[in-house]
Amino acid sequence: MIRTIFKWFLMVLSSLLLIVAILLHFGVIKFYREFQPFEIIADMDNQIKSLPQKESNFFVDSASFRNPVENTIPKIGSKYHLIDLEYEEAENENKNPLEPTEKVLARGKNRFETFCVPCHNHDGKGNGVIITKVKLKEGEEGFPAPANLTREFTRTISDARIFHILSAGQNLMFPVNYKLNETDRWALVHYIRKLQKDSNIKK
Amino acid sequence: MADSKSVKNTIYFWLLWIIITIAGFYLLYDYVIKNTGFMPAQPIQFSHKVHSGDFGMKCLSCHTSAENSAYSEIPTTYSCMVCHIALKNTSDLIKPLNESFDSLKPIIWNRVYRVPDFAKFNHKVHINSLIDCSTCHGEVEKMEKVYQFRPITMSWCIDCHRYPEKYAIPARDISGIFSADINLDSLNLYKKKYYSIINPPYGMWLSDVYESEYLKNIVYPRVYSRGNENCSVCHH
Ligand code: HEC
Ligand code: HEC
Ligand code: HEC
Ligand code: HEC
Ligand code: HEC
Ligand code: HEC
Repeated sequence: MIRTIFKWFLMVLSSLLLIVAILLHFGVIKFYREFQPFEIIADMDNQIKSLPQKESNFFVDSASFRNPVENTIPKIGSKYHLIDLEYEEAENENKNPLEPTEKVLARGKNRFETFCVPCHNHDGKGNGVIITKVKLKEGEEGFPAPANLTREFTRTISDARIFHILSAGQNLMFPVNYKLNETDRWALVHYIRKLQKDSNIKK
Repeated sequence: MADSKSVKNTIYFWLLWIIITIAGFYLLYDYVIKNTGFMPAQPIQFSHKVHSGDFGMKCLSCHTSAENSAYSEIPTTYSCMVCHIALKNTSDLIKPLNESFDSLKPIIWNRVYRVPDFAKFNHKVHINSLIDCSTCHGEVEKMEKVYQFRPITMSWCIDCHRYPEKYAIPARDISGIFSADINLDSLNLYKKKYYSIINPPYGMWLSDVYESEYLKNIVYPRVYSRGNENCSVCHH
């Protein structure tokens, strides 16, 4: 008697297991968990090596990403050495190495859509989603409207100056050189010029 | 007579039981051992649904290095403060961000996806082959908090390298992947020219497709190369 009950108890248990597993598998029930993964046999899953953005016990500042040694020049790209207000030096030193070919403009468009659109919007008029769409609670500040990239002032300043703004920043406009390399920034300058031309045509 | 019948019944019963149990554990394997649905606690309630879903921020604008390196970065405090220096700066949820910005201490996010250290994964090749993030990470722009969308197993990696057309989702707009002319043609030509004369390396799966083919712009990996199925591509 006890054996029969035990038998059927096991059967019901594993059937329940199967049902739950099938429901999970087809996404009928969702299952999330916060605890760390199980590791039955953690062969060589965790090795004593540095991984990017991981803490490292080897260095005093515990960073595994190391900065380049001082006075060395990176193989690709270079550090931008001018600061905010050095406009004249910027005018003299920055020369656009790219021609506005189709590929360069495509790259510029991709970069603009990816990095600038939340603030400057698709047409560069400066009414992007984070200015127009944000709902603020009481006492909270929103983001001030950025400059219109198609305005007269931006049309008249040189390519070198726009490159300087992108590399060194200007007020709330942050320097993008920590994310975008030189080629991308020059491609962006070309794309901004294209936006300005386009807005001309529409008028 | 009766005895042998009940023995038979008992055998059938336990056979059924074993099949059900194994099937159950097999289906649960993805969840219990392979971490599907893993959603660790994070120091800041950062929501991909708000940032990417509602405000249309492209994946690559934060995870920039996915495009040109093996590792896809988690954005620094600075790149959040670009907006939040003004936007909602006084909100309680932004407080840890402010503290980190002032004290120069990085925020320690808990990692979700993980390939074991004995294998290596490279974002750059996949992004440059125009494979969308959602193929492997699910539709992150609909997730309030990121969780592991699918198990990361070797069979999945290999399956897609054999039949990318079944698994790969082409680049979507929200990812911000650069799709125009990435000049992979020349690479494949090189591979064909120099590798087809030597024997395929160990472990490489040979197919009758020698030409580089494109499926909705995705490079077909079944060309002679180091071989996407060569063990040493993924294992050291
Ligand atoms: C966080 C929102 C934000 C993002 C993202 C952003 N900008 Fe700006 N941008 C601003 C603000 C605000 C200003 C106005 C700065 C000022 O008051 O001097 C500005 C100004 C500029 C100017 C100077 C215009 C002028 O007439 O003075 C240029 C050029 C510019 N941005 C280009 C870009 C490009 C290219 C990108 C993409 C890489 C970008 N911005 C991304 C907020 C942003
Ligand atoms: C392009 C600008 C931008 C960047 C960059 C950005 N955010 Fe946001 N953030 C927003 C917007 C827009 C909202 C939504 C405001 C609303 O609720 O309408 C928001 C909301 C938030 C909230 C909720 C605030 C609240 O009180 O509801 C948190 C937390 C947050 N962001 C964290 C971050 C973190 C962490 C990063 C860096 C990885 C980051 N943000 C980068 C624009 C940005
Ligand atoms: C505003 C910046 C921002 C944007 C835009 C963004 N992410 Fe993230 N992402 C983060 C931050 C910060 C984390 C770390 C916190 C977390 O895991 O929730 C993260 C974590 C992740 C992770 C988990 C990484 C891990 O293993 O720990 C994945 C996967 C991911 N993002 C994919 C995406 C995809 C796909 C998109 C585009 C739909 C996207 N992200 C857009 C900031 C961003
Ligand atoms: C072919 C599948 C695949 C694609 C496509 C893919 N990822 Fe990943 N991603 C992974 C795997 C696997 C890991 C775990 C890597 C590891 O542990 O080394 C990962 C890890 C990450 C991480 C955590 C940091 C890291 O590198 O370990 C982030 C963030 C991330 N992915 C974002 C993205 C974004 C954004 C995209 C789209 C531009 C993307 N991924 C496309 C498979 C993919
Ligand atoms: C959605 C399809 C897909 C998935 C899933 C996928 N890959 Fe790939 N993988 C590709 C494609 C397409 C290429 C590009 C091959 C080329 O450019 O010749 C590639 C290339 C690679 C390469 C470079 C091969 C070389 O020749 O140098 C590595 C390494 C790699 N994948 C590792 C992985 C790992 C590890 C995983 C599992 C975590 C994985 N991949 C999952 C589609 C995929
Ligand atoms: C496309 C990339 C890729 C290729 C090619 C590949 N592997 Fe793997 N392999 C992986 C990944 C990723 C894992 C980890 C899977 C996991 O965590 O379940 C793995 C796990 C393994 C494991 C299990 C280790 C353990 O302890 O769990 C073995 C054994 C293995 N691989 C052997 C091989 C052999 C032999 C080959 C050549 C025929 C090969 N692999 C080719 C990506 C690859």
